[in-house]
Amino acid sequence: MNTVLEGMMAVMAQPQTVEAKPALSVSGFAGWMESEQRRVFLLCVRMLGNTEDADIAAQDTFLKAWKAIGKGDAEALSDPAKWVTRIAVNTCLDRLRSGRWQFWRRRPSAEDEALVLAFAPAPEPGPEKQALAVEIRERLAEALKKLSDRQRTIFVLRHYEGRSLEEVAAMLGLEEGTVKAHAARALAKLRTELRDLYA
Amino acid sequence: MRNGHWNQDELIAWLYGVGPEDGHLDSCGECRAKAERLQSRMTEARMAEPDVHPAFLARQRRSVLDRIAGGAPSPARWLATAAVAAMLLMAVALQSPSPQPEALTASSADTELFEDVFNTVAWAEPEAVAPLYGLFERSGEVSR
Repeated sequence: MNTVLEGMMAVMAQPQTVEAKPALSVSGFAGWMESEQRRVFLLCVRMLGNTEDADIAAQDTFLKAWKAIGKGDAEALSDPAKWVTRIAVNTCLDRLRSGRWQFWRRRPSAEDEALVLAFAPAPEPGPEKQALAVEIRERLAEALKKLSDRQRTIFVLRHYEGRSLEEVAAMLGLEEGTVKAHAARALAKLRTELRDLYA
Repeated sequence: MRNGHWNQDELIAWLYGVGPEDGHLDSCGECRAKAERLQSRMTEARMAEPDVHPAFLARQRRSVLDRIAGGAPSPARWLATAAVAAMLLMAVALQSPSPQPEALTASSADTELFEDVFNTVAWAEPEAVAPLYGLFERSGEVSR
């Protein structure tokens, strides 16, 4: 369990006087946010396909988390990482639904994206291997855009977050069989798109 | 029960939890080894994923904390508010009645019509001919 979040919630659980505001520690929340922020932001990038939308979605996610903690959302305590992931996924899905009509919106350029995203040092930093990793990453990001919202969500949670299909089903409020079917379709589409990379 | 080994597609599907459910991996060491190799490659690939610039994350954190403090509104809300305001303005502009031409009284309309007809009849030559008449103008009188 996340100790920072646990400490924050413990303070909240103390009896409050009617006049007193909830004793939520902003600095405690900021510390917990920092520990989850990179993962949540990258999840949003993968689901939304660009850093600008992902930035807004990640901010909204943490704001919703703050408000939910303020209301004493008990689910936050049992598994904070899973809890905030679920908020991020729903925030991104809402954003995808509401953003369909914004076809005219300017998308951030590749240079802007590069300013935000940098490559983590590869385990074996050979230039060829790194170049291949970049190519795979870029091709996969493009291929992900061709999946449906639900397929993309399921694939991202399974591939990048390492969640089991059972967990994914619980997060999305779907039957496990439905998640499996979407995952299989997502894989089939990705295989077609990326066939040349692993053939 | 199958006889052959799993192909690559089946192994990848298994990695994602949607592979064949025939228990083949439990009985086939060769396929199990392949699956484990694929799994470690997937983990490596996950580690080589992009990192996020620390300055960007710091700015994002500041922005969230500002919003918690009740400061800056959400950028998305800004955009939505601006879009709604623009649509309302457009709707108002389209709905408001355009200025109607002043209603002509019967007498003034008749007078104007009479003048127009008179001018047309009296000035039979095209206006472009006027400069030519100017050439023959004598002591302020135009001969036509």
